[in-house]
Amino acid sequence: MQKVLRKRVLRNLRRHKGRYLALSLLVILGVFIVVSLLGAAQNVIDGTALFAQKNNVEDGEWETFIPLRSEQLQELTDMGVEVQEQFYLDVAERSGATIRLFKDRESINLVQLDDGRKAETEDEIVLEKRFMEVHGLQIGDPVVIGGRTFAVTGIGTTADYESPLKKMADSTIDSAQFGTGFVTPGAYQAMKESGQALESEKYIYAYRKKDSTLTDDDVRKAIEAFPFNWEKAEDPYFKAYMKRRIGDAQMILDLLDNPLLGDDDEAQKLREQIEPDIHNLQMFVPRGDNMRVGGAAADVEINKYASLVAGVIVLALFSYVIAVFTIHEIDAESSVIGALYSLGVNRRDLLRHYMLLPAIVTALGGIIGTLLAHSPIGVSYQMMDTYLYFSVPAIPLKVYPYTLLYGLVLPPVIAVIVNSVVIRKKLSCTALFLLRGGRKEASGKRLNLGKMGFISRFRIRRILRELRAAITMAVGLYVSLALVFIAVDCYVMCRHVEVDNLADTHYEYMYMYKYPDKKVPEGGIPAFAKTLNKERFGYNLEVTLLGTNTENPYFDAVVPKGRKDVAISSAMAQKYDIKEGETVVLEDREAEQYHAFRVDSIVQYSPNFTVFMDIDEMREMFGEDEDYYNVVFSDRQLPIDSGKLLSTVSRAQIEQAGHVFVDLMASMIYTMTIVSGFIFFVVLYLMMGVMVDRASYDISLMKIFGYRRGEIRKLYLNGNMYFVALGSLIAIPLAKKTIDAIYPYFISNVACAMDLSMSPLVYVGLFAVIMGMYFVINALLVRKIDRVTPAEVLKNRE
Amino acid sequence: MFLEVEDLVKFYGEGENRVKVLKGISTGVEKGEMCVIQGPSGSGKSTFLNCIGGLEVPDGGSIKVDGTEIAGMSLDKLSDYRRDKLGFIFQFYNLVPDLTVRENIEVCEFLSENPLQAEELMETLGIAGIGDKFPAQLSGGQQQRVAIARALIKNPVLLLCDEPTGALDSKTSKSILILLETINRKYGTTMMIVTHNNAIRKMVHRVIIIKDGEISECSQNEVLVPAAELTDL
Repeated sequence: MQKVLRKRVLRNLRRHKGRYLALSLLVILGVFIVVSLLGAAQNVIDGTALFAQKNNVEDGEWETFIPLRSEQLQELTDMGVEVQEQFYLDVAERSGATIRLFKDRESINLVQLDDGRKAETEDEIVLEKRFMEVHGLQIGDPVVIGGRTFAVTGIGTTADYESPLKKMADSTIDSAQFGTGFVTPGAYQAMKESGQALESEKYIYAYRKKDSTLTDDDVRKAIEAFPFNWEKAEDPYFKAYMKRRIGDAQMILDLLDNPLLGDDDEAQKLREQIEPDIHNLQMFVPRGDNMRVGGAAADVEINKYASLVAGVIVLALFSYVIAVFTIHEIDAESSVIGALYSLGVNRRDLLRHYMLLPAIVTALGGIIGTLLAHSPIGVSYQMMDTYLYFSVPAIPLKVYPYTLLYGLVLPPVIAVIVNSVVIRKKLSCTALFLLRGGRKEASGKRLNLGKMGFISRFRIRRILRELRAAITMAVGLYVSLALVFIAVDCYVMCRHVEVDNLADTHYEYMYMYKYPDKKVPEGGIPAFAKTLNKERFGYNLEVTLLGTNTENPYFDAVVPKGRKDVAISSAMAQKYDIKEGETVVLEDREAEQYHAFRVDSIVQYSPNFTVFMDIDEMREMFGEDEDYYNVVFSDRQLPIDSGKLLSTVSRAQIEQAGHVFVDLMASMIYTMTIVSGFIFFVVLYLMMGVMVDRASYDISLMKIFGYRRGEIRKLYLNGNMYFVALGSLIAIPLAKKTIDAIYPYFISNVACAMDLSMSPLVYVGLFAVIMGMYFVINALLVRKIDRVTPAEVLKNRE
Repeated sequence: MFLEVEDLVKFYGEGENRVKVLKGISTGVEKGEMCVIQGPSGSGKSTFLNCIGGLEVPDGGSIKVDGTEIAGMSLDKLSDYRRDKLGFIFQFYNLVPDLTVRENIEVCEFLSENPLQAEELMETLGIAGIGDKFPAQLSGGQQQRVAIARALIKNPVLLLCDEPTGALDSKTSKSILILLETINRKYGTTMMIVTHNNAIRKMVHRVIIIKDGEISECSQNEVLVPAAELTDL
C-alpha cells in the first residue's frame, strides 16, 4: 500500500514544486542560520576554554602601589598561590593608539602565537592580534612605540586580554586605539627608563590557586595583610599624596618613630589611629569579575540558547505551514480518502502517507541547511563576529554531534509531530463523511455578521473559513517581526548609545585621579567617584557612585541632600530596570559592604551607570576630607601630570566609542532584517496562495456568475489586506514588547545604556514595509486567480 | 430566434486523442421558451450547454444570444456576457458553504444593476424563513431552491440548468420543476435544461436530443403538461 502511495508523493512534489521549493528554502535558511549560530557559539565556547586552559589563564589579578617583596611573593607561593608578575607600561604608538607593553609571560596568561615567533631581541615585539588586524600590520613590519622602532615577530593573544579593553570598565573594545605588546625584559626595562610611558608603571600580578581549598578572598586578605610602608613607594605622586593626607599627623608619626620612645603597644595603637587605613593592594579582581577574561564565550552564550529556542519556534512555524498545505490536500482528496477507507485502508497508512512529504521536505531542508552551516559560509563565517571583536586565537573547527542532531533530526521530527497532530484530526472523519466530500465547518463560521455590507461580510467569512491559514499568517507575521525587532532593538540601542552618549557628555575632559592634589586645578570642577558593583542577570557590572553638587555644570542631576537619597543615570535605570522611589543596592567589594539608596530622580545621562550623590554626604560616608575629590571635569584640556592620573576620558573618545557600537552590530542588524523579511514574505505568500488554492472552486463559480477580475480580487485577495493590516497593528507593538522584555538577557554582559525607545516613524515604516510586501504578494497572486478557470466547477459536475 | 446556434464544433484532447465532441450543431430557441437537452452520457449535451454559457470556447460555428455573437468573444467579454444575461443552476447546487442563504443569493445580486427583490424571490421560492441558515443546515431541495434564487436574482434572460433535479428525490424534483415553470411564466426567462429525466420533456416547449455530438432529434410540444401533473420523475 505504502509503495503505491509513495509514488503519489513524488508526483505531488513535482506538481507543487514551486510551493515546496519555497518551503524547503525556508527550512534550509532556518536550519542554516540556527546550526551556524549554534556551531559557532559552541566552537567559540570550547575553543576559548581550551585556549584559556592551555595558556594557564589567571584565577584573578591584583595591582599594588609598590611591587611586592620577594619574601611576600614567597609567602603567597607557600600558601599555594602561583603568581605571575604582569607589570605594564602604556606607551603611545605612532598612530596615537596606546600599546600596553608587557614582558613576555612565563607561567600564567601565556602568549599564544597565531603566527610568527616570540620577541628575542630588544627591538622585537609580539603584538596582539586584533590590533595587528585593525592597523593592517604583518609580521616583519616595523612599529614605532614610544619613539622606539620594533619589528613585529609574532601575532599573539592572551587569555587575560581576550576582550582587549583598555580599562576594565570600558564598555566597548576599540582595537584601533588600544592593543597589547610583548617584548623581552631588556626592551621593557629600556622603555621604562626612556620615560616615554604615558603613565607610571602599573604593578599587576596574575595568580592561580594551586590549592583547591583556597578562595579568592584568602588571596586578597593575605596581600592586604602584608605590611606596607608607603614611604618606600617609588611613585613620587603617591608619596606626595600620602604625605598630604597625613598632614600634621606626620609630626606625631615621626615622634613615634623615635627609638627613644620605644615601641610599646600604646605607641602602636596611636600610630594605627593616625595613619590612614591603607595597604599595598590597590585593586583585586577575581577572574569572574574581570571583563577582559572570557568575554567571547559569554558573548556567544546567548546566541546558543536564543538560536536553540528560535530554531524550534521557526521550524514549528514552517512545519505548520506545510501542515496547512497537507490539510488542503486532504480536503481536496477527501472523497478519495473516503473511498480508500471504505476499501479497508486504515488511518495509520494514510497518516504515514500524508506525513511523508512534510518529513521529506524538512529532512532535505535540514540536510542541505546543515551542510551549508558546515561550509565556509556557515559556522566559520558566524565566528567572524568573534574574531572581529575579541582577541582570540584561530579556533580549530569542530563538528558537534548535537548540532548535527539539531539540523538533521529536529526538522523532520518537528514536522512529523506538528503534522501528525493536525492531520490526525483531519483523517479521523468517517468514510461516509469523506466520501461526500465534506469539509468540517470552520469554527465561527456561523457567526452572525448583522447588517454589514456584502463585501465585508464575504471577506470576514472567508477569513473565518481559512482561519488555519490566517492564524499561520499572523504567527508568521509575529515571528518575523520578533526577529526584526531583535535587529531593530540592537540598532536603536547602538544608535542611542552613539547619539546620547555624546549629547549627554557636556564636559570635554574627565580626569580620574589616582593621587589628587589638595587644590583643584584651575578650570576644573571637582567630584568624588567611587566604583561599586551591581549584579544583573548573573553579571556583576561596575557602577560609579559620583559625589557632586549643583555647582557642577556638566550634569543635569539635581542631587538631593542626605545620605540616603540619590539620582541615577538613565543608563542605569534602563539597564537595571529601576524606577523613581525604588531602592538601589550597590556592593562595595573593597570594603565588603553594601550601600542602599532611595532613587529620588532619574537623570538623562547615557555614557555610564552613575549614581549621583551629594558630594559632602559622600565624603562623610567614605571617611574622606571635606575637600576631597578624585575626579575633575573640564571644558578644556588641563595641565595635570599624567602620573597623578588613573585615566583621562575626552569627549572625542566617547564619540569614537559610540561609532564602534554601530559598526560592530551592522552586519547582524542587516542579516536579521533580511532573513526575517524573507521569512515573512514567503509565509505570507504561501498562506495567501493556499487561501486562493482552497477557494479555487469558489473563484471558478464566481467566474461562471460573471465576476470580473477586479471584483474577484476584491473578494478573495483584498480582504486579506485588512487582516494583514490589523495583524500588523497588533503584532508590531506586541513583538516590540516581547523583544524589549527579553532583550536585556541578550546583552546582560554589556555595560551600556539600553534605551530601546524609537521614533513612531520606525513603526510607521515597518507597517509600510509589511503592507508593501502584501501588495507585491497580492499582485503576484492575481496571476494565480487568473489561472483558475470556470472548468473547476464543471470538473466537479462531471 | 433568441438563441441561434450554427454549425457548432468543439474538440477535446490533443493529437491522437483529439475527439470531436460537437460535430456541427445547429439549432435555435425562442425567447421565453423552456428547452430540454437530452442524450446519453458522453453525447455532448453538457458541452453544448457550456458553449452557450461561454464556459467552453467553441472551435467552430456561431452562437448568438439575443443577437449577440458569443463565439470568439474574449474572456473578459464572456465574463460580462454571463454577468448580464445568464443564470446557472447546477446538479450539486454549488452553494458557497460558509455564506448564509441570504449571502449566497447576494453573491449574484451584487452583480446586477437591477436585481429582483430578494425577499420577494425568496418568498416565491419558499425559502423566506431560512435566510440566515448555512447550506449545511439545509436539505437538498432547499439548497437547490437557494441555487435557483441565486441564479434568478440578477434577472437573467437565459437560465442554464444542468441536471437541476439530478440529486433530488422525485417529490423534491417535482417541486423544483414547478418552481422553474412558475419562474418561466412570471419572469419570461428562457431556460435550457440538460436532464436525463424523460418526464421533464412534457413540460417544456422544445426538446433537443443529442447523440454522438449531433442533434438526432429536435421537437416542439404543442401542449405542455404542467409540472405538477408530471409522473415518473
